[in-house]
Amino acid sequence: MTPVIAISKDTIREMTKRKLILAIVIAGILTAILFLIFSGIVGIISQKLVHSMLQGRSVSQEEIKILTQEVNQKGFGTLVTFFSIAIDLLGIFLVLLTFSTFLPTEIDRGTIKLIISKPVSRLEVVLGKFLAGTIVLLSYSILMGVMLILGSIYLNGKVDYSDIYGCILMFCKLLMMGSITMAMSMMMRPILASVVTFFLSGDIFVWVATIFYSSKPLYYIFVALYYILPSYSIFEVHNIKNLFLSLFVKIPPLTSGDIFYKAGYSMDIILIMLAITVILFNKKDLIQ
Amino acid sequence: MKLAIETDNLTKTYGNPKNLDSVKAVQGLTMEVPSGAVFGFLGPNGAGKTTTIYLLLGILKPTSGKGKLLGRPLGDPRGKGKLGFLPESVNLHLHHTGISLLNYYGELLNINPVRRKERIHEVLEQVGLKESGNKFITTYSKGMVQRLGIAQALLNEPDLLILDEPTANLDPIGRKEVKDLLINIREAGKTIFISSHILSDVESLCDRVCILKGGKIIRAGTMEELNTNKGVIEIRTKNLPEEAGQKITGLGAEIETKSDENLILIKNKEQEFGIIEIIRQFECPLISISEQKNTLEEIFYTAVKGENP
Ligand SMILES: Nc1ncnc2c1ncn2[C@@H]1O[C@H](COP(=O)(O)OP(=O)(O)OP(=O)(O)O)[C@@H](O)[C@H]1O
Ligand SMILES: [Mg+2]
Repeated sequence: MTPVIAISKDTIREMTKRKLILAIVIAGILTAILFLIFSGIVGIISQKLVHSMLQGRSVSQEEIKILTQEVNQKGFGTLVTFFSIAIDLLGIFLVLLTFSTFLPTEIDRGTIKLIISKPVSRLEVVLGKFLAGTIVLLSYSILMGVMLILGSIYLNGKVDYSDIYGCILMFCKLLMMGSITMAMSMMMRPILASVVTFFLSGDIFVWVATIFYSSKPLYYIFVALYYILPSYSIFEVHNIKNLFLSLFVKIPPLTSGDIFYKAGYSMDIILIMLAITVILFNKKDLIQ
Repeated sequence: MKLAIETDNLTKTYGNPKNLDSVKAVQGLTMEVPSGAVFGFLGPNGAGKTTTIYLLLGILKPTSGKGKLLGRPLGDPRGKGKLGFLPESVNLHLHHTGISLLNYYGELLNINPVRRKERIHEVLEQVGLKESGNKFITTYSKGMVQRLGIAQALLNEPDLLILDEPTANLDPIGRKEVKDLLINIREAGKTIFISSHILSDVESLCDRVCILKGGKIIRAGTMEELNTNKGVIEIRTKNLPEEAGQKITGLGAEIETKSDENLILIKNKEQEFGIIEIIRQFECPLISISEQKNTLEEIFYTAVKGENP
């Protein structure tokens, strides 16, 4: 097991020296800071708003408090949506950039030769790299989750569980994308592997299928594709669609059961993708 | 006889074998390297030496055939605990210093932290990089990178060293140092498998060689076996009179004369004493008596030029 840890340690060390990755993490932190600042601004605005709404009317302190909180929540909800989309996008960049290059870089540079000349199996190389990516992604998700909780406490005075769930699901989705792009990088150049991973989601085929509803064979093919390909959208908690929808209907809050189901789904895909990566990497000639 | 390396019909074709532009880099290679041997793996550029080494290490997968490295099938990580490898071009993780890189490799080799630290200092000393251990590899010269490559190959006190052009990029002093290092390792009874174009280095170091061309072995054996001039005795003398010369050639020996020096070549060992007697009779000086040997360079040239696979 030691080689796996040694490889992932070295990989993380190398990642911290890559400017692009550093840039993404810094962008994430900046977004989070902006988010906290805007949370503060939302607080101030909502207070002013409530005061102007209630001008000239006599209401109890209790009513003012409830109303402020309501306005706060609406503003904060929008803010969380945009923050989530931003950190999700940054996370996607982070994941595609790292997981797609882990193995090809070692091969292209020729550094894999010395690793393989040590008593290290190819499986351990793959696991070491994957572990490194997982640790970096986990740190990123936790950092962003903490920011979300801080903002929530500041505005609502309590923790909103759907925010924590949102971060867990984001982590699951990003790790799943990481495993997919790692498997893809065994078949194509890293940049192409990233693009393919990004567009691989089966979600789009729901829409395509409805278009072809009348021509049955095609319809079934697209429905099948929807079920075969991994879905990214089931992991979205805070997105524009949900924000828009919440204006008209009440979206039921996520339960821990949902989380288990979705995390399990991503775990499934991750294991399949890791297996594909190991099988392909095992067959490969490790020279440029 | 314990074998450090054995291969059986090892074959590697680059690209799809069905395509015209595929390259048969190694073709049906069968060889045995006994434990404790210093094995010279020679051949002209493109002969397939590096490819063979990559196959031995499991970096490449053979198209067909198999082999064993330190008793384990090729590619089995368990065979590599006591292996040291120096690649043809040493590519290192550039985000390291010399010491931190060796530490990483030490972790991969599962050397415990205390011993690892000791070994890192020992090998850096051995390759002459003691002062540069804390510098980043990006600041190293080519020769320093080569030295660090040698250092990592020695880290685990290997039983088998596989070296692909170990003296490449080294200055004459560095080359001498590496040669001395390898002599020490040979004295300790370790196996060395060395590919090199510098035949004089190989000659003084190796007890076995194998010459490769077009992916096939064209000569193999101990230095003794490859020496085609074996048994020819060379006597050097001076001012040999014509009469003596006739007597000697009458016995079947050959004489080459350069200015006043004469070189007598005797194929039949039994005539040696008779011929010495003749030289004495004519009171000529005996400058030297020695057994003639082919240099490795001669062996290499005749093998590579003569063969058209
Ligand atoms: N990655 C590759 N793809 C295709 N052909 C290759 C590749 N690497 C080597 N070859 C070919 O395989 C043959 C053997 O190459 P190899 O590098 O093993 O030779 P070598 O004996 O090590 O030569 P040198 O003394 O120049 O290092 C050559 O014809 C070479 O062109
Ligand atoms: Mg070579």
